[in-house]
Amino acid sequence: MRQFAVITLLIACFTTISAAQALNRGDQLPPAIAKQLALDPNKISLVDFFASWCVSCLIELPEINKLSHQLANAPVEFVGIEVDEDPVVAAEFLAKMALDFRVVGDQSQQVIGAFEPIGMPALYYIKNNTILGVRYGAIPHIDQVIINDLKQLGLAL
Amino acid sequence: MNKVLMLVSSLMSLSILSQASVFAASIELELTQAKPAKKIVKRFSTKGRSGEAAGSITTTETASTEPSTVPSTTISTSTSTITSTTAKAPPSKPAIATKVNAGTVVKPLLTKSTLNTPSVSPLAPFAPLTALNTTTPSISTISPLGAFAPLNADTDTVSPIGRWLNKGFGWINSTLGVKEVKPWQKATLAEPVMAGGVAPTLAKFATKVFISKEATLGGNGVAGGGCGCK
Repeated sequence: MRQFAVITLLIACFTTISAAQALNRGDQLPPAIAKQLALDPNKISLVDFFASWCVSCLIELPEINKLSHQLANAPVEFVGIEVDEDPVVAAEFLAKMALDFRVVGDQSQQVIGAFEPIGMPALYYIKNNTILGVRYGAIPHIDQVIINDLKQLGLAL
Repeated sequence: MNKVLMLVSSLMSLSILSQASVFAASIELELTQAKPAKKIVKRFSTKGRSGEAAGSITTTETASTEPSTVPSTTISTSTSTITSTTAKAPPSKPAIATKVNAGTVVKPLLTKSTLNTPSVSPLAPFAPLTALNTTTPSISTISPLGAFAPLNADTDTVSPIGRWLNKGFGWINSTLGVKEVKPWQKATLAEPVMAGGVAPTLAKFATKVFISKEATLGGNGVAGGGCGCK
């Protein structure tokens, strides 16, 4: 009995509690991340995580870039998060895509480590540092999906 | 009596000769189409060893049913003139005539071949093919944002026993420094060389042998759209 208790105690000591929980809909951004992203509190921010090796990102990014021009006058802000670990690869990819909206380099992967999306690309709808919704993975016609989501969030487009 | 017989025989021979001459004269085949009179003049000029010759060929064609309007051809050169007029045609026959001289073999034109005529019945018409769906899925299939339920990786993808084992033996991973590869950390895994195994060259040859023996290709890749999803 004593041996069983000791073993149980050892297991309890070494058992790792799961890492920080991923940010989901309704969660508030950590202050450090909110300060780093510096999102506009008066707009709905579309935070898109992408990388150069993500094929779906290659397809979706031009559509999102085009949509950012269409919604230039709407209270919507587009922010990209480049998560490639290699800065050179990240710079080359950004030069290739020629995105017109603000892109934050996250080569240390601190930002995406806080969000912990379950797939790439990951698109977050954020307002006042509060996550309103999340889209994961490859989605066809992402521009129309974003417009529908924004209408659903109460934005008059 | 002998004179009478000689006279009769001479008459009979004359009649046979006259019939033979008529038979050798011409065979005319005429159509019943009516055409206005047409006069064609073709001029020519030739140059040979004996000198130059120039002239014209005039051809008159009529489609009238009149017996007197038959084709006539006049060839006039600088040295001679040849006029040829065919015999009068019967009133009921057309004026466009083809004259076949005796002793000339004329073969009809082969306008339709029957050698390769298919003896089988033609194929039945194919059923109309349905249109291929090459468009991406409709937007309506994507759930609206409000109804979106985020996937919980711990509870939705791992069985209860697996979760219990993870909690009980997770210390092994932490002790050995083993960490799960996150979806955003798959840049190295996405490299093409990662699909080749420990020896990409050997895998290439093995694939070559497999293709040769099985007469097939593919089926050994990794599914997915490159999004890094679990």
